[in-house]
Amino acid sequence: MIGGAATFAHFARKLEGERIEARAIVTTITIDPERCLDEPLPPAWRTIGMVDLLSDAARQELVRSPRRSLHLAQLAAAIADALPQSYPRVMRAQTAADAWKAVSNAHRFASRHEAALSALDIADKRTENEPALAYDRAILALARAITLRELDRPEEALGVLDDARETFREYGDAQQIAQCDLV
Amino acid sequence: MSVHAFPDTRGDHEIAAVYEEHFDLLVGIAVGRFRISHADAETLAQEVFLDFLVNAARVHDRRAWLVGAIYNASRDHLRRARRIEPLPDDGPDPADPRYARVCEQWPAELAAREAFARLTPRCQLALRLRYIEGHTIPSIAKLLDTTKRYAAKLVTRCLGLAHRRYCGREAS
Repeated sequence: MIGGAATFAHFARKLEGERIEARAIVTTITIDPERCLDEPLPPAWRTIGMVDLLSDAARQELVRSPRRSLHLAQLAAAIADALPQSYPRVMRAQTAADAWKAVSNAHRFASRHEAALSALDIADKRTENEPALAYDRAILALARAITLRELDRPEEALGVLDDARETFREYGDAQQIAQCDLV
Repeated sequence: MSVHAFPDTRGDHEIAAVYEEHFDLLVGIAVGRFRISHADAETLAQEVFLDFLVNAARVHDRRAWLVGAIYNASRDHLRRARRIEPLPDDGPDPADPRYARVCEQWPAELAAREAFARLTPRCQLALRLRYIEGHTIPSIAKLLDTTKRYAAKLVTRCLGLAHRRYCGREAS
């Protein structure tokens, strides 16, 4: 059951609780994320809060260590793709797309642009059947445009950006529109 | 995550208030402007709120964001609805052939999921990319940032592990 104000407040509380629980775990994982890729996943890690913090950690590690960032993002993606079905489908799709975007960013920072585009293809697939995820698709389109520009494919980048800019305009998100203008 | 935008216990009341303030408006837009049925409009509005929960930290103007979201969701819903053709009323109504052997199939599927869940994250990624997403070994190697040779070995080893766990020949 996903309707009603009380249910949404409950969900917000649940997600916040998951993030609090995940914080200490992710701090430990960040020291050596590659090791965690080769150990079975503890069931308690299979939460959206855990995926969110791993994806955040991957973004934070981008400059310091793209390799560590990639391992954190891969862990996030593996958990996201196996989240329990007790989460609403739309949240699982959004979380998985965000994790795969983190994988894409890690590849892009290491100049592996083709791998970055492949990871974005996977992220796009996660959101493609969800009418409510237009904003997330636009975020992915922006990431794709940045990657295409770095690949020196400006015309494709501009084509992708037009749709994203239009979506951000409809959502009234001036910050993301400015990001589009910077590409 | 959204909940950063609604810190502490006041957050509960705040998110409930955002929902109550906008829910009818979003349903009204989907029904009034896009002629979507009330039931579908409510589902879309709820899904928009779920996405809002996840994105709230970067939302500056909640009303504009939510209205933009329901416009986009409604348009997308209509695009999809146009692609769906209703079955003829007098046509045959055979059962979905996938359910013909459901008694054997479901336990096997559950066991396979259990075996998969007990694999390492790297194995789960490799097998999902290979057998669910349909990626080639070179593509998997690229995504995992490894050599083609290692990627091939990884897929074979992980498939073997999954098979052994599925058959219950390995304790953990």
